[in-house]
Amino acid sequence: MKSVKMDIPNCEDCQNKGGVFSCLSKPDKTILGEDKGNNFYKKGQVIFYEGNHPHGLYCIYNGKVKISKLGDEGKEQIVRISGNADTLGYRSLLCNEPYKATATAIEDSYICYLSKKKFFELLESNNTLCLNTIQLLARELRQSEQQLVDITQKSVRERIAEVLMQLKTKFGVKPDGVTLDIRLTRREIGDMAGVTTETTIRTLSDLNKEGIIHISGKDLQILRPDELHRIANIED
Amino acid sequence: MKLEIETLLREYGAREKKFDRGSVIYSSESGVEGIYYLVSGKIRIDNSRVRDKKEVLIWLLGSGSFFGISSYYNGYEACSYITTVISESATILLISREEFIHLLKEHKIMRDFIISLLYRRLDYIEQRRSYGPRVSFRKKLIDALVFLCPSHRPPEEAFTGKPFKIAVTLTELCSMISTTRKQLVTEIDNLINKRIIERDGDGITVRNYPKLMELE
Repeated sequence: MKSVKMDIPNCEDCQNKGGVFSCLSKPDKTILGEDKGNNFYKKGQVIFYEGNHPHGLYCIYNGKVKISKLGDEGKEQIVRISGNADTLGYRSLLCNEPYKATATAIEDSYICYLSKKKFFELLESNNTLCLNTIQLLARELRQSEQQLVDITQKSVRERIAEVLMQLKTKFGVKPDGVTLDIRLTRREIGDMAGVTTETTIRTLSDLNKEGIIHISGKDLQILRPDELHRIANIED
Repeated sequence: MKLEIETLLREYGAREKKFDRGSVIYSSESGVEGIYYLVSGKIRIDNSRVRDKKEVLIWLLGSGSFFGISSYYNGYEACSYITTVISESATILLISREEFIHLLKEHKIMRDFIISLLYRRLDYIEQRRSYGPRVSFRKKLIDALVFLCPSHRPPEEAFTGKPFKIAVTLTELCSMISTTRKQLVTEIDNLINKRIIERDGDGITVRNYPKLMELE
């Protein structure tokens, strides 16, 4: 980890929306930001390892982080990809247990480190933050339940299509309107879908040939999102 | 703790409802009415997210469990779950979302309980998602046994080698870890021979939890 002086605003001036701390008032955000550290992680750097004990909380200011578990035979299983305003490691911190997953930057990322003491002080005093945290847990649980069902019920093609649609929803597209604003390897896409790398490559190639997506190196363009949505068999 | 939770829920207006074996507590047709707490009995929650496909067992829950949280707390009244009673009967307390939020705001004990419960369920389901084709059957069984403990974790005394009981039938375990009865019985007998667990009509007694975890 490298500490770099950078132009990251204080918590009360942070423009990132939608995170668990967005409910806090400015004075509370000021308290949260006391003892805050700002860190830069190069692509590939690990923020925390599965099995280590948490001492604070991480909040992504700008960047993308994959959360992964080590499955059987040492195979990595991606649980999710986190982006701006997402908090990392909060679950283990709340329950005072070792991290259940590893967090790794998948692009150069600026991540704030928040003090465990300040976080718990605010949780005690701010009901809305506590409820927001519970809501976040409940939402993640629902998503995980649905992913478990998908792995069991959906075909490989449906799962890959669904992952692409989820990435589009979460990270959006670049100014050209079609290129996903996240670059993942074929293996990482496959991990998210619970599919082998070889099958992922084959499926992406098929979708490419059908003109539904266009692959250019690691850039992936979604040319026909309606068709991809249909293939993914996503319930609205 | 269980009694405290029940008392609090009733204070905040939770209604008691009773169901017989086979009854559906909620489904995609009825929707989720609020947040549920299982006072007694056992339920299974299946999910049929993809239309016309077989349901997938998500949870087996015993008394002292909340359910419906992941759907209702975030405002999803429609859901793709089907929740069925699998014991002779079940008694539940149903609380509205608004009252549940009040309860959480005013009682730390409840907040802490819910956070711990959601954490452990998330942990278990992410474990299940990470199972590859070559995951050991024993690992799936041990993960399931731990999850089936009240509050989804072994009691404190387990860590000192004291025995504790898990109320689960072989049929339920088979569903939980998607296996045949034959394979399950073979592994259970294996663990019984090693004096790590015992089995009777009511469930499984874990005699030596530290040893069980070593086998994982």
